[in-house]
Amino acid sequence: MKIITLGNCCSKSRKNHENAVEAAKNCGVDAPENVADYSEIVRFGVMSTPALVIDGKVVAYGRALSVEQIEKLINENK
Amino acid sequence: MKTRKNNNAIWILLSIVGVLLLTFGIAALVGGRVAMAATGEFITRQILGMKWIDELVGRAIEAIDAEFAAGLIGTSLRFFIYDTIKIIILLCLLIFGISYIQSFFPPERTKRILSGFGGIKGIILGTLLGTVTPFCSCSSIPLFMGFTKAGIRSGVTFGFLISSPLVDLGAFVLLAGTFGFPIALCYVVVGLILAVVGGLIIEKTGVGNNVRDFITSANSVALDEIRLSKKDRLIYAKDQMLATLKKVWYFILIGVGIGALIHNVVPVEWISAVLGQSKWYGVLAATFAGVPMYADIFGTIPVAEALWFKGVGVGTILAFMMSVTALSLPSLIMLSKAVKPKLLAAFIGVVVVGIIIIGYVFNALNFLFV
Repeated sequence: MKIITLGNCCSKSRKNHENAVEAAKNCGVDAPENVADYSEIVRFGVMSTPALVIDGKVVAYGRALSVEQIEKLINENK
Repeated sequence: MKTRKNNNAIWILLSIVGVLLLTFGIAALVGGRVAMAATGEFITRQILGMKWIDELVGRAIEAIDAEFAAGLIGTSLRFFIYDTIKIIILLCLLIFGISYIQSFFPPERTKRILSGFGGIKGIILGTLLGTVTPFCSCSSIPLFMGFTKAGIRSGVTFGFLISSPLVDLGAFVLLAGTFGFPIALCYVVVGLILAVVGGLIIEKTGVGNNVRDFITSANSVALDEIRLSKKDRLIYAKDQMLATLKKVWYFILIGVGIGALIHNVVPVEWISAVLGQSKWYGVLAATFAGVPMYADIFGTIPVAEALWFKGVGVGTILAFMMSVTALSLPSLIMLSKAVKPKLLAAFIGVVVVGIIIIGYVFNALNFLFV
């Protein structure tokens, strides 16, 4: 499973990435990657960061997620 | 499922309007016109303006020392405590409610709605959506790229970019509580007109095409809408409220502090010498003082409120508030990465000139508001 967090501009995005790292560890999946480049972010169709991508599919955008919310999304997309 | 979600947002708005109408309706039945006016004043003064906090604070300070309470520091302190509490309460309630509504209009969805429209209709729609779409300076570049790639005209994008920081529901409610409904309504209406006209000028003169190359060369796809549960939206609204409070609390303290100084310490003569009605340069001074200032509308209102009580004209006050909120250094820096200098200059020029015109027009109409 490949998890990507989008955005590294404000504290919300960084918190989102930290939470994703922890959630991935708890679920025993690969550590998420962070993408900050705007052209890359827009390629996913996302305009409001932070966003979360699981296996190429955007599962959340425009809001920072808690560890529990990310764990739930990981399990739903397994 | 999608239409049901639309209905939810509409129901929330309708119920707010409904409760207001009901209050007025009951007042009208019980006491006729006079009671209606009294209810209106009660809402403005006690609920939105929270004058009861002012009285409580006043009594508390008097209880300590009556002489101190009547003095310069006492009255300044009273204004400072009252205004800080009032604004923080309003800010929390408003941001929570507004964020809940905004969670129905992410930029990704706004983009899809707007991509079907062009011309003046598109610009008006872009301007209106700007008021309900959550926006932070972080997302201005991806937003710009996404809009441009979706074929949205530059006028629509700039209408959106001008109205988004300038006009929102929170500003309206806070202004209504401070200055009353007529001025709040004026602020919103002229703010929207400024965004529409600004967008039109930028598109029609062709200057709107001066965007950086990487913006137009980016690839973008349309995103499937993600359904959010009520719980997701409540969490989002709570997060937004806390994040906003954390971001703007010192603006509020500074704003209220300056407001308290103006309110009680700075002599009226000084204010009227610079910003007075009879001075032709009042609006210019207010606008250019406001542009480099970076503050939230919540930090601006206490300063504006104090100036208002010192007899500064309504146009000068509108110009000051608009120039502080519409143009801020962080968002201009972000924007300068996405557009060429020519377009950036046009954007700043259109907004500044627009605000100055608004200032002079409303100062000329000042007699309607006092």
